[in-house]
Amino acid sequence: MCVLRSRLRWRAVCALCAWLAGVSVGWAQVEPPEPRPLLEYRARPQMLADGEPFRVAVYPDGSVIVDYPAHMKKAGRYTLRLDRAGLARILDLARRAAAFDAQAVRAQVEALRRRHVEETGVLRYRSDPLLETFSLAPSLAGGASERVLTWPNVVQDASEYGEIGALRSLADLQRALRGLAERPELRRVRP
Amino acid sequence: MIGAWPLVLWAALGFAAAWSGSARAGAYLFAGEANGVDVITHPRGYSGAGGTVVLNLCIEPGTPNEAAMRQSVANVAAVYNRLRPTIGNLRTGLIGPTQVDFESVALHELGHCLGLAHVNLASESGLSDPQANSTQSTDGADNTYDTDAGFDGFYGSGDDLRGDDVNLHWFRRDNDDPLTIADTVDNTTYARDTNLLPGGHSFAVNADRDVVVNVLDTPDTEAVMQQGTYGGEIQRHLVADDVATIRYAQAGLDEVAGTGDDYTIELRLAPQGTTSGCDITLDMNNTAGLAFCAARAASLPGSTNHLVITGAVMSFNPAYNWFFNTAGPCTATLNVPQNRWMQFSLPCAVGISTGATVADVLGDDLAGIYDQDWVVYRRDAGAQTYVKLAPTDVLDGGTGYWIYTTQAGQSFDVVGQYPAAPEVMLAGDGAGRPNLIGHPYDFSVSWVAAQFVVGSAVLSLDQAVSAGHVQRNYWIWNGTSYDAYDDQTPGMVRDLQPGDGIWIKVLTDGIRWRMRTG
Repeated sequence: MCVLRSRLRWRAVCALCAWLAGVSVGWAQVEPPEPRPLLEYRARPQMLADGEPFRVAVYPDGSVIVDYPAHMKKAGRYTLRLDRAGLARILDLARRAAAFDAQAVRAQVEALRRRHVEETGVLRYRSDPLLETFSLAPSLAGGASERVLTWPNVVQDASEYGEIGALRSLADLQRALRGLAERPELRRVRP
Repeated sequence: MIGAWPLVLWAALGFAAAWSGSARAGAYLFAGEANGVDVITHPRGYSGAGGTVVLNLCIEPGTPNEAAMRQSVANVAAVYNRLRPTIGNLRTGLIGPTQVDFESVALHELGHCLGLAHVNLASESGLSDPQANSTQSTDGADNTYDTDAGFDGFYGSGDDLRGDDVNLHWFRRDNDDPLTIADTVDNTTYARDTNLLPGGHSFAVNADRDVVVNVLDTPDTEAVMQQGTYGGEIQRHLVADDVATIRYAQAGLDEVAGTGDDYTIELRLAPQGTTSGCDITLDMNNTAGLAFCAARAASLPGSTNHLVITGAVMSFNPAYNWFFNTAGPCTATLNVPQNRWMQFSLPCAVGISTGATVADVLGDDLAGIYDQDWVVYRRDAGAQTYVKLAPTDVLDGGTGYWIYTTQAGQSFDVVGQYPAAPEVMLAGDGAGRPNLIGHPYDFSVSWVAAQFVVGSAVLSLDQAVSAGHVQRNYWIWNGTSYDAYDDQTPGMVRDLQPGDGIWIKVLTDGIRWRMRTG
């Protein structure tokens, strides 16, 4: 008897949980939780002290979300869908860039800078960089965990230090991702 | 001497210089462990000989927003030409909250292109706020920035504990206060070596907004060369620290003011379409994060620690929601009564985008002939006389004036830029000498916001009164007589209003007055 009552109580609790879960699912459908992107790019100008970063996220099904922050003319969230070939191209660029080793690249840059100074006597400076971060899912990074690559002014440094292949690969990925944010088929889904 | 600069020697000998480029920039660009911590970087055109260095600012023809940029670039040039230290240089609510003020960012980037680095560690350190607000330095022998905010809890203040980090921020030796400036700026009054800091300071203070409001009790103020701007914020005037860093460089190779190698700068906005003879070129292109200055520099012959910029460009990203300033965002109309004296001050900053002479400000509005139908006077408190202004004399914020007209129905418009508060020199004696000052802002502020700079000390109104430097009362002319106020006695409380001329009595000669925003 005691066991039976306990089971009935348990069933009632389970039913309540199921109902609550249903309600919760119903609400969540209004604003579905985003799956984790395969590839995410964030860019934050270091001269701007507030606001969200510019963001491009690529998902396994080929969908792309682009977030332009409030300080930009195109402020808002946009989406587009890549076809299979387009997605494959981006992911291939990401796999090539995945080996980027910031510490090694920094050392190479320093060596090239030194050589430039020795040869020319000219020092170079660039203020207030764009800090760029690439997050690669484990399947792209070739490991068990997500890989995060960070470098300031990727494209400019790749241009200035063209000898560094890892920088060139990262710049190729950056251009491809930023290029998605300029595609005419982008559809605005949120202001 | 830490500042031996090895670059030229190493380059000449073909050795590898331990150069770390922009990653270790200091209060002057390129100062750091590799190039020397005492590096001073001069604007393009300085050769080591004294005189005026003229710098042409060009806007790339055809660049996006080319026309819209021109007024702001002209304003920025004027601000650097004036080199006036102010407080209250941060304003909000004047542009949209998601707009980024082009002029404010241009003022910062131009500072870089003239040779100035960030006053704080900033993003190049790899640190985030608030640690990145610590004063600019090397990372020391341990190759790690040591950031400890000290007892006051604010990064960038004078009690920071910085381990083996080597300071790169030049400071005023007698007070380490970046919101004040010595009369003479050179190696007798400023230093970089922390052994020369005043007592009680462990590291140089930088004019970070949180430090100056919480430690220096001065709100809405920040060095232009502190990295970072906020949406909806404008910062279009320099503070003392910005001015002092430029003036220290202007003391020349010997770093002693008043000698033959001293120089001044004159920035000129080149005519539209100019592509040759440009010293600094501005454009809009999407390679910029938000904005940057890219500069190149080389050593100055005969010097161990002086560099000169050899080329510079400033780029701004057109994808941002830029706000472009105009010639007259700040306007105020003052009515002048007929056949009665009136006191006034300037609620807007003239002399940047608009003329600053009597003729410029008043002559275009008032009927009649100057010195026959209307006239303007100021008070020379030092000589204890009134001085009749000439039409070509310059009017200035923070000063009080008298005006008189014989004409009916007269008014004049003050048109210019949003103001910040300058320092105003006062004359005093034991009897309490009257000084005619002017409310410097276009908004109301209580008199208790007044500050007095006495030698190297900054005193609040209460402190200055207690120490016997000024009387607490002030007087406002109501058209027929004076009303006395002290902002504490019932019936004698009244906020200063835009356009107010104010009499105060000063007991100590040579002190300075400035007005906080609140």
